Amino acid sequence: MREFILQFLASSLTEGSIYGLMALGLVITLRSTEVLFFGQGTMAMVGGVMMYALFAKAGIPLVISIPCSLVVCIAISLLSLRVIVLPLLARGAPSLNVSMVTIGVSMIFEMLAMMIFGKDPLAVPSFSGDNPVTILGASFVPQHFWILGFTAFFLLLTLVFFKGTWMGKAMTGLGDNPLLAKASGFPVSRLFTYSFVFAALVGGIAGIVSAPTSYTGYNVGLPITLKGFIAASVGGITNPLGALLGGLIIGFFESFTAGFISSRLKDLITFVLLLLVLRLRPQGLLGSGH
Amino acid sequence: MGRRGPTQTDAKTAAPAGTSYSIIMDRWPLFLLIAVVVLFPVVSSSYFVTRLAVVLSINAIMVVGMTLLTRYAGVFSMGQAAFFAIGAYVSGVLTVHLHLNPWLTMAIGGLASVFAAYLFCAPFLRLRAIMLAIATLGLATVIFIVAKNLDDITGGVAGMPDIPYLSIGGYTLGKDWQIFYLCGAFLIFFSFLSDNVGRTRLGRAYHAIRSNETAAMASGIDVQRNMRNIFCFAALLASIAGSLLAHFITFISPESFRPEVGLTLLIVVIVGGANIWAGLLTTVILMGFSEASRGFQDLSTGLYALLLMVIFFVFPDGLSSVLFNVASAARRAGGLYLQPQPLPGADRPRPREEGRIVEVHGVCMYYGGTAALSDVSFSVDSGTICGIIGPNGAGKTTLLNVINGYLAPATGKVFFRGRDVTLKAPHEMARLGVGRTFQLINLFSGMTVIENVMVGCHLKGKSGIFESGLRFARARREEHDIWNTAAQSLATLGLMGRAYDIVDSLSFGEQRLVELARALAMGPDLLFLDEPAAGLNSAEAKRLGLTLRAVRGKGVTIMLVEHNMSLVMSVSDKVCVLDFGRLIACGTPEAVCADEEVIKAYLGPQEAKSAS
Repeated sequence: MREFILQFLASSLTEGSIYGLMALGLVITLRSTEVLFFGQGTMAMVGGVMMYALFAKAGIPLVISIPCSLVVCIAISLLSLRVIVLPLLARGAPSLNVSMVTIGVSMIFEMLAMMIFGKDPLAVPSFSGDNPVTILGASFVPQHFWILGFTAFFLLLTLVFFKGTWMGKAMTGLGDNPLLAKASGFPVSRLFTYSFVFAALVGGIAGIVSAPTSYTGYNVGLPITLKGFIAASVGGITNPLGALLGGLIIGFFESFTAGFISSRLKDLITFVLLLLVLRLRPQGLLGSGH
Repeated sequence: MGRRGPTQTDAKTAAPAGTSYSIIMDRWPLFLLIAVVVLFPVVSSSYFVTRLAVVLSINAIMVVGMTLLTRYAGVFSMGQAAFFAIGAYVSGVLTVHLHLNPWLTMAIGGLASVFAAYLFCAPFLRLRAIMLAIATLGLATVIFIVAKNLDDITGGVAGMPDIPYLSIGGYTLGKDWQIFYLCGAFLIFFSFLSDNVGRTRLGRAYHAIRSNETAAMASGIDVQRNMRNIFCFAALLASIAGSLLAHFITFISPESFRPEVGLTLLIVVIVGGANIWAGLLTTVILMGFSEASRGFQDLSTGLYALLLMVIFFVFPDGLSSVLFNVASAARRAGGLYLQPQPLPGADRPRPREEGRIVEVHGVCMYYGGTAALSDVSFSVDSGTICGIIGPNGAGKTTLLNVINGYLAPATGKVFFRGRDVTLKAPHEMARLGVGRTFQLINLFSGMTVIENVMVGCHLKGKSGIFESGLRFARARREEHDIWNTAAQSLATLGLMGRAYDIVDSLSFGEQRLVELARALAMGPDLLFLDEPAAGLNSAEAKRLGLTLRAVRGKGVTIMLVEHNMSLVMSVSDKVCVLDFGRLIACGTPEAVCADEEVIKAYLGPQEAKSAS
């Protein structure tokens, strides 16, 4: 029984980490631009299919294929920012409207990915073999360590950015007043760029490391964006740490429901949890006042 | 007014909208829609095109409701698929399992959706827009999963076949063109209704809520209630659309009600803009395109996305901003030549009330650890002007906000005409007869000047969505009265010449006057003015003083927060002085000017000593 529970915790942790990474990206871009960037999941999709092309098909080693995939993610993210998000905001379109239009961005990249990679789910081999490692009686696939390692790395990076850098602190202090930020000489457009690069990194990594444990493909983007958004809402939409925590909570409840009740009700539990949190604590578990 | 207007008799009979210019120009989109619906089945020969038209009109019914909800009231719902599903499944389940009449089940489905929407609103409508949107998506997903898993009732993933067609008097509507006429009739009805709602009192209220909630409350608009009503209305339309779909295809499966359906609809509404007809056009363009390009199978969603981004890029405010400017320009031109009629009884001074209209007892208010108001007590006599002065940060605006209901005091009580109103909300205070202008101008941007002032007359009307949508006599009369009152109020302040300009194009001083006009149009008994002279030059300030006296002459009590001393001292019957949240003096202007503590507060202890 103990092994079973440990096993279950391990899988919920890895699943939750992926959601947490997505939520982290969403929170960062939302904080800087006030736009809910639906392209977030596109990054995961692109990371996944790039790994399929480079690592699985062409056999390029990880040290090269991972950075290459990430570069593509960053390029797409910045393209979306420069071509869609910034010009629309500059023309005075309300940020919520722009958010909805970024769904279009993700649809277009979905179409492109489908034209290139087809409609079938794509399998990517594990990064370091499939021999399970047993810890305290629960067996971990090596891929799980990749996922947990990268999540921990980005958690650290976020902490350093917000607590240790000038720009991170400024971002916390400025809150949500881009006009004021601009007026006080703050390099807003550099902030936008940084946050979209960051979003591409976390999204891309989430797609890259999770590709071997689940199939990847052209259509994995939008669902995982929504999961990330729910995770962020549960944890606190203004708080990067809350976003990660929210991801872990969602991952836990999903694994729990799938393992003990029925996998058909997985999403039901997630959304009921979301509605409950919004009802009882609208700012999310770790969110601040407003 | 210098403008050559129509003769007096013309003005008396002229209604504010509708009669002074051609009805065709005003209503052409409606006539166009009717013509298209009537002629379409005649022209269309293909089975595919007719069925596509039915699907489009069903979607259009949902878009009409969502346009009011999202583009007018600013509520983003990603979850209309929930109510679409409720309508379809209630209709399906009740006709298949219980063999009820389809019309009856459509009505039951509508009621169920409205009820669900009502329950949903109570906890979630207060969330900020983006969280509300995700909550609606949550609702849609929950409904979708439930429909998928209640195999015994809904047929689960396999779906539910053999739903009967609708019928009228024993005549079954089973052919595609019959169903198209039915859906078209529903669409025409709801478009007409929603268009009317959009351009009258409730539409202005929704616009006000979206563009400036604070000012909307000050005008007596119950924000939560109005948002809830329009949310329920949009849910009703989605539900009826769902029922129509069920009785059209005669088979429903959860796939038709995926949460993504709601996202697609929301995108259509955003691209359409704040106009019912633009919403319909966008539905035809975007959804028609994506349905018609099913032939390309895989590429259809991508092409759809590309098209929507191009449209949104060219018209960031939605298609409505280009398509319907022409029409509204014509409307403006028509309205310019109308003159307000004298309001019956408006010139008659109201019976002078005796006694105190406002009493404040021991009010304390804190921001964090700072006391913004400490133990403030005073009263204002009816029909007087009470000036409130004090250095910056003394708590003057906070005091107004406490009396007005924007802030609840930590301790203490506020009485209005002897009634305890301490915990009343701003819109309730407006109902009791309190008008308000703000220190930082709070106008409804994007609306014309007269529409802004008409929002101030919100409480003059009582008709609801259906009454004003169907242009019942009462709604038309109310609309006429509201226009007249607003125009009268603008004329008093000399602003009638700019009535049909967009309010954002006015100068700062004029915008202040529009705000005052809006407050006066409410016909208040008590008027709060927060620095009305800020930004006015001395001539304008003098004219403002005369206006205030005239307003007092009609029996209105005024509480005036102002830094312009000559204005305050010349018009006030009584002046109260606040300093660091304490009330340090209260009395006639002369007495206050001579008060030592006041001099100290204004000049500082050092200068005060050397001055004396």
